[in-house]
Amino acid sequence: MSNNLDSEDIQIIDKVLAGNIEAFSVIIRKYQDKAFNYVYSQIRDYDEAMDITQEIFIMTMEALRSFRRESKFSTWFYSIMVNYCKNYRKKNSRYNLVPINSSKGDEEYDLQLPDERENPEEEVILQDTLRIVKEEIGNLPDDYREILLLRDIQGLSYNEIAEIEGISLSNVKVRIHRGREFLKNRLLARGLI
Amino acid sequence: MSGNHIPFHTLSDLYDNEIGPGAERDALMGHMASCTECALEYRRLESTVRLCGEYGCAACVSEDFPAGAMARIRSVKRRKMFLKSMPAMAASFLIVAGVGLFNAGIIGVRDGGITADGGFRKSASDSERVIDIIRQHNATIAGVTDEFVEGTVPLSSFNELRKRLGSRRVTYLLVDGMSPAPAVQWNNAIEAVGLTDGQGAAMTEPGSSKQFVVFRVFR
Repeated sequence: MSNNLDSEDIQIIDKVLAGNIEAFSVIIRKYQDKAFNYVYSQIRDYDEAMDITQEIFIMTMEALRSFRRESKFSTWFYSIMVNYCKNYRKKNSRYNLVPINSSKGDEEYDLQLPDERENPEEEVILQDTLRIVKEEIGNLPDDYREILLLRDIQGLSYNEIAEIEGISLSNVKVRIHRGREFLKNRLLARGLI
Repeated sequence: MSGNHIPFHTLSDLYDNEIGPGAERDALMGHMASCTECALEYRRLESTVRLCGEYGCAACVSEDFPAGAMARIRSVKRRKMFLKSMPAMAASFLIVAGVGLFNAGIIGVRDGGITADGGFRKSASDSERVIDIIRQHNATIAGVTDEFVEGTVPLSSFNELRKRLGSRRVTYLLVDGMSPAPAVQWNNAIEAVGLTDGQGAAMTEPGSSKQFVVFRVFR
């Protein structure tokens, strides 16, 4: 299945490389939510995350000719995404210095949620739960957060994460376990689990 | 297992199916069936991962995101294409401008002349340049033909003159005075292309009265 998905990506990429730039919109639609989720979790600002996600797609498009097809396109794309966010956070270290739970701006949590629940109470509870999850993911140490997002939100395999992050498989496992334990303890303390 | 309970990293491995079917997995599942604490910890792990996933689904991009991204991509492409074509455009401009200026006579070298001799009008022909050089070295010009410029120069100035004439072919003879005798034996002339500093000195014969050089500078 994943091979089929990857071959679909490759077909689109071939079209783009042949000059059909518009075909790239298929790639954008396919990866936009995953990319945005990751970026948003790292950057914690909706508008900025939107801009950065666009930048990542532009960078991917620009670098398409250097994609050697030695790995899946998705792995290559996530590498670009992860590195972009790392560099961005290095340049804007203020994001590491401001704890998310000290923020008073409600707009910070103004996620664009799908309107799929009719029960307003459930909607409020869900939003509040997600707000807390977001806070606690934000409180994770950087090393754990990156890996946890790739694993539990993006759904990447251990091997893919090791390739993207450039670290060993055992290191990936350790970070996933510790990140989950850290988050589990925090969510438990906040009464969510 | 640490003590009586399953460590968290093992639960995490179990959750990710890193512990495949087999004795170890069976043992862990058997333990959880009898240990409420480990079973609870496993459910908490499941809830944590589930909440992560829900959080991931909640943060979506706006509907116009693909259109916005594509617009930016198109803009970047256009800018890159423009920048890529800049060298060609600049080269075309320089060629057109160069041809125009050359045709207008503002730049360029006529008559196949050499421009490295400095200090001369750019429009001067090579013969004119040679004549200018000769005059700057206390020499007299005896004649100008289609083939050469002939003149006489004091021996003391010849070296410098020869250097200034650069790579032009020159023949020369030592003579007694500034006015060369009509019977100059050009067949015996020294012919050289270029001159080193030592050659002028070597030409001087001790006690000789020949202190002038008659020369021809060929085109």
